[in-house]
Amino acid sequence: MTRLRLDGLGKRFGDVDAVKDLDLDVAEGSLVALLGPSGCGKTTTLRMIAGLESPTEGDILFDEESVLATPPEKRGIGMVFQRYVLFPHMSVAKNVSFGLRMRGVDRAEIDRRVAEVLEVVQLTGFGQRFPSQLSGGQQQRVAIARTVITEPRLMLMDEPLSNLDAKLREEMRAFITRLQRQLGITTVFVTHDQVEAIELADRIGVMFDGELVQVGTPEEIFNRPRTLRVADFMGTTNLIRGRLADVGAAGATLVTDVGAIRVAPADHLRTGAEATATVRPEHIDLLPRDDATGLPGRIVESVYYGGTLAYRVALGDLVLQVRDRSTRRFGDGEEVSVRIAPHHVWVFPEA
Amino acid sequence: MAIASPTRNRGHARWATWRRRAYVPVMLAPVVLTLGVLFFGSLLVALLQSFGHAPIYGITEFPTLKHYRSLFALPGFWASVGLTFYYAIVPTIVGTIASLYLALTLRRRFRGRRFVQFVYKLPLMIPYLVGVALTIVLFGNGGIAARTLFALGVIDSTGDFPRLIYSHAGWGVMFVYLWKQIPFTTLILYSVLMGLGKESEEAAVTLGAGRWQTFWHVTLPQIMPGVVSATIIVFAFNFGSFEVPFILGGGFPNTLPVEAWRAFDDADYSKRLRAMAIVMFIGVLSSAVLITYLAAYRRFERLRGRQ
Ligand SMILES: Nc1ncnc2c1ncn2[C@@H]1O[C@H](COP(=O)(O)OP(=O)(O)OP(=O)(O)O)[C@@H](O)[C@H]1O
Ligand SMILES: [Mg+2]
Repeated sequence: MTRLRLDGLGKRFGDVDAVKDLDLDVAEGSLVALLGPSGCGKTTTLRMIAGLESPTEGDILFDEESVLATPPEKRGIGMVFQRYVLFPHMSVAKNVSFGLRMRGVDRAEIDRRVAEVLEVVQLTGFGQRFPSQLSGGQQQRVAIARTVITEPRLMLMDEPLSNLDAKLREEMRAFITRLQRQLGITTVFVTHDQVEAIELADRIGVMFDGELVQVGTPEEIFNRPRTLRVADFMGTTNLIRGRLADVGAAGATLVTDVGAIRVAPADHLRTGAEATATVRPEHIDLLPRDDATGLPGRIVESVYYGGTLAYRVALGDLVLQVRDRSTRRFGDGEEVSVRIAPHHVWVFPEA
Repeated sequence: MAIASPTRNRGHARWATWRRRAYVPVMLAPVVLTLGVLFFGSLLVALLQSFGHAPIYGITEFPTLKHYRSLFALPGFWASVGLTFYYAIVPTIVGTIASLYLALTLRRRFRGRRFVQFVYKLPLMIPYLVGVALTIVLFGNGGIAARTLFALGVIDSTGDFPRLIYSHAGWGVMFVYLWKQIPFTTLILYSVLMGLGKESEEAAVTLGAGRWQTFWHVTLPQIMPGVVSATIIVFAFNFGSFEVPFILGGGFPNTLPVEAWRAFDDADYSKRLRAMAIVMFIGVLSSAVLITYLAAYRRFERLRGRQ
């Protein structure tokens, strides 16, 4: 198992900074997802790790050893491309055995390992087919089989699921998780889909405009985003502006136009500071109006979404999105009490 | 919309069907007619003449094989066949390898790439005859190469310069072919490479393939259709080429097309029928080679699972 470390990595194409001063530490055997919108430099980062692109700045270390001088074929990486890129002129078996054949592994050993890997990716019996005779999901599994068979130190996956339909994507997601756990290969997984990142990754790195803006566990990124942009990218959220008061060991109070909201303690809270807080729609509780513990609100709109009710609730001028999983149902225009638990209120450390 | 009567409607439908069916033949007619008259028409005339039917020269011996028989009995005829193959095959192979190398190099980024991209195509715009003249000026016994070597004291007189032209070894002939055909083949292979993109090669490299392995197992098999098309065109041209071996070749015996021209140019009109027999023979040989080559290539593709 290999530890990957990127140290101040940067890449300029002409006057475009595709990747800027990127630091990342990927622990042995873990899966890190690089998450970000299109054009933020995810592919470029992967290509630099693979050796297909040379960085203009910084260093890439495998087990604390720089690989900058090592050509891609000697880095011992496996890469799954955004568009599979199977060899169209080779059968599935030849595609899968390619890496072993190039290393001069003997025939019997190759046959044994190909059979083994095809079984892992559930493609036993497909060996003699050609890529053009496979579905997208099957092609993707061949692409994965082709890389894992060489037992790479590091797996690099560039949006491997983006070309699949929703159901297949889900299956492949589970498949990749299982495979990665089973083989324990250190993996960097690129995606622009936050659900995919949350489900697959041990840690997520969020990238915008070539910069890594936050690295953390999915839970941290989701519940304690560093900036508004990260919060927004991680899905629908409510933003509440106010001024911090009573900062202490027990937390703080965010004084807003619609009332006071308690905030759990955190190091970056400062009394008197203007602040923006975020609360996820599923973390807001709605209670009947006679409950006095919440802020007074009124239901503007309710939509039923398989299993949950999505409300828009007005608190004065502020409109909050609320997801309620309970069986209780409020009608449009109904007066309610809005309650937010302090540990679900997150104040951005950076504006 | 008005309701049309059933009969009118049917007539209309029939007309539409006819139009649909006639569309392709009508559109193709100009090409088919031109090709038919110019190519198959003249081919038919040549074929008839080679079997002794040439009323315009007052010869009506049809059918006879004597012109073919006289051909095979001719001294130097088989040497001529050998030379034709030699001049056609060697430059095709050498040129294809050189072009592959050049096309792969042009794809990489290097200083002056745009300049090279422009310059290498120049021979494509210049006629073969200019290439012939260039070769004489460069490699003739009193040519630039000979004079330079003499001036440098490498040879004692310009007469000692090796015979590169007017010899059966055909260095001059093949030089002209390469001068023109390397740019041509490079252009084809370069566009095929551009269409292929670098992704599959990058995939190969990440799987541990070295440069040579990547070329051999991934790049070459995928650009094979381009290589085959280019070699077919180049071979067919070289096989039937007349002016280059005529000027730069080693005299008698010369390649089949040159011999055909000599027979045709003879004061004795009956020799023209022999010329036609040679032309037919060239056609048959060249087709046989190309068909065998294509069949072999198809087999190769089928083995790789392409339809
Ligand atoms: N070879 C190149 N030459 C010039 N600019 C490039 C090159 N490759 C990438 N870029 C630029 O670098 C930036 C990052 O590109 P990159 O492909 O890494 O984005 P990405 O995050 O993978 O996007 P996507 O999700 O759309 O695949 C983009 O602005 C892109 O235009
Ligand atoms: Mg990308």
